[in-house]
Amino acid sequence: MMKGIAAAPGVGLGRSVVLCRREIPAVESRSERDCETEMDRFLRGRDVAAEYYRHLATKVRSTIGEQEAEIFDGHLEILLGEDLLEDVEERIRSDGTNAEEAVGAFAETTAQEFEELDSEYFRQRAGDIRDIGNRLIEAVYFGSIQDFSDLPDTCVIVAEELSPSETARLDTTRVVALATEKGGRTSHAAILARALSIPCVTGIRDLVMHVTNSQWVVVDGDEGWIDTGVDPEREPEKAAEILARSRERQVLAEKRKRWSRETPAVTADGVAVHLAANVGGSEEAVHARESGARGSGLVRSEFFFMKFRSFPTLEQQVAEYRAVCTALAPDPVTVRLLDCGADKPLPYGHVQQEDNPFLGERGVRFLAARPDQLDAQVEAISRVAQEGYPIRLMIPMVISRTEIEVVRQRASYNGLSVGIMVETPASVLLIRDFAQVADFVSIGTNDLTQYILAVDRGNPVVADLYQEFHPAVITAIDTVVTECHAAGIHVGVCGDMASRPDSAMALLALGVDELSAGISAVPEIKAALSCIHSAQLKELGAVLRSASDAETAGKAAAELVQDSIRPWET
Amino acid sequence: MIEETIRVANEEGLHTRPANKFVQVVKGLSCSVTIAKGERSAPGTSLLKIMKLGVVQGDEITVVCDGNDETDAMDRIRAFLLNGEAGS
Repeated sequence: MMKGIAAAPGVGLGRSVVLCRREIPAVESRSERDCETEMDRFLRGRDVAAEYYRHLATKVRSTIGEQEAEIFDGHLEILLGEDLLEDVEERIRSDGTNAEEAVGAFAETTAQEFEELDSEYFRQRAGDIRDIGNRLIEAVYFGSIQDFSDLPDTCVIVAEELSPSETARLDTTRVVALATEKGGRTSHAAILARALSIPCVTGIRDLVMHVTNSQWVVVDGDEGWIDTGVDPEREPEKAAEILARSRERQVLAEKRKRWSRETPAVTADGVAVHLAANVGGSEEAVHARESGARGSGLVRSEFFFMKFRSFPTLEQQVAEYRAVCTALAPDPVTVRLLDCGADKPLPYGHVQQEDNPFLGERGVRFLAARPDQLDAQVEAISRVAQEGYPIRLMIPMVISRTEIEVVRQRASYNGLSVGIMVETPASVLLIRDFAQVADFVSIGTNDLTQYILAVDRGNPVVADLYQEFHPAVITAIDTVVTECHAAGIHVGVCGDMASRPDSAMALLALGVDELSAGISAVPEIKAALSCIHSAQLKELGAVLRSASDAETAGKAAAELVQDSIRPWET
Repeated sequence: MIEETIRVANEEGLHTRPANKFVQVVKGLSCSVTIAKGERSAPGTSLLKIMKLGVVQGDEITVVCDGNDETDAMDRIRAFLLNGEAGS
């Protein structure tokens, strides 16, 4: 069994298709063959690659869209263009290099020229050029290009990582699960898998070394592991058991969702709580509604942006935000402005490597430096609001009042509700001032905890110092709630603290008005809430405010929910 | 031979997609077309060289058409750079 990151839920069992980077052995760059033979090899490889790009453009045209397909038309033009031919021919005839080496040298020189251009868009084309070069080299050397659109039925895709062009070409109707060596929950493979409801596990160390083609593989996207030790032909019972367990889990999940859909979020003494869900886009919004969430307190618009190879247009954004609102109607939807950077770099957005990305160009800083993109996103949200949908705009990573004012000034619709995420120490310290210009506040507890305690939760050496119940974090939340209520605005929480019953109760105890949880956590939180009286929450609030360490506070919250029932199991 | 300086209005400048459309327009002409941005120039039939000029919206580029249909060619190229569509 190999462990990884649970990136898309469900269990899949199928035969592996290992998409490995085909390695070209290091050979003498000077050709042993005469230059006519080398030219012939190049031209035949170019024909193969051209056919591949034509096929790709046709497929993308019918499955994704005209604009995406036209990019591959451009790649075909570059491949067949005079520059490539002349340069390669010169290297082969004058320098005596072999065809692969000539193509590689051309691609690298050209890519570097692109990297020196002023425009960010053109600098990123270096990746396209290298991609074209690599495909052509593969075609010259192997006489073919691996075609991921021609897959056997019920297969499990195993890869080091999947590039956007590779994911676009997968025939996903035949894929039962994905497993990758690199990447996390925001990698292309993960986003695609969630959108198509295919189980996916990412971040599995040495995966490609340990799995060979046509092996039986179980992928458990709920728990984050894969197993190659099951052969349904030799051990049909074991395979059946795995699939039965997976079906059982599905049935239970359905029951849990149905219970949650039919049950309002109220305390045992009937106090209603606004419980929303965090979503990555319109597909997840449908799922959130089915899980009993009331609207979304956090639409992660960066996930939508990551589906594209360049910035989505205004119209594409309007359509997406409208779809999220429709899926969750009539409940409110809060769209967070593109929050890329740090652990979620935008493939076409970030060019410079940052030494310290968590303190770098992330959140509103990224958009502030790209006013056209800021305008487009604010305009898209404004339009949907003007159409009458209950949509709000939320600004991430705020540290100054100017950042709020700049966004608000750009909104073409005066009635648009503009709020901020509180996730920096600066925004806690200045909350009284910010509450004057923001229409609402949502606390992002993950980053807030990390920045207040100066602890990287991804670093195992200090991970145990990452404590959401740390008195400094509790004090910060308490301060924000008190100041916002004094200013007459609502406070929500959309971080992980809102996604676990114990910490969710702690947030309510501190006076938070709205919880936005992970979709799968919604039923559990409703269940916990239904067993608790509002007087108990008040008592918990007093304990939290006076606790001098994280243990005391965490224990008090845990005790409150320890007897929670799971009503859907009865 | 005729020459004209045009400010690119097309929102995407000469990104991959519009630049390729530009090349296809030029390939349908019988005159030769050269475009220049600053001191660097590119033949109108080379997508790669055009992209290496890094033309974005608002850039001024100089277009030279030389040959039989040069006036008609310039009209179509101007229309393309101003609207993103080739006049027919």
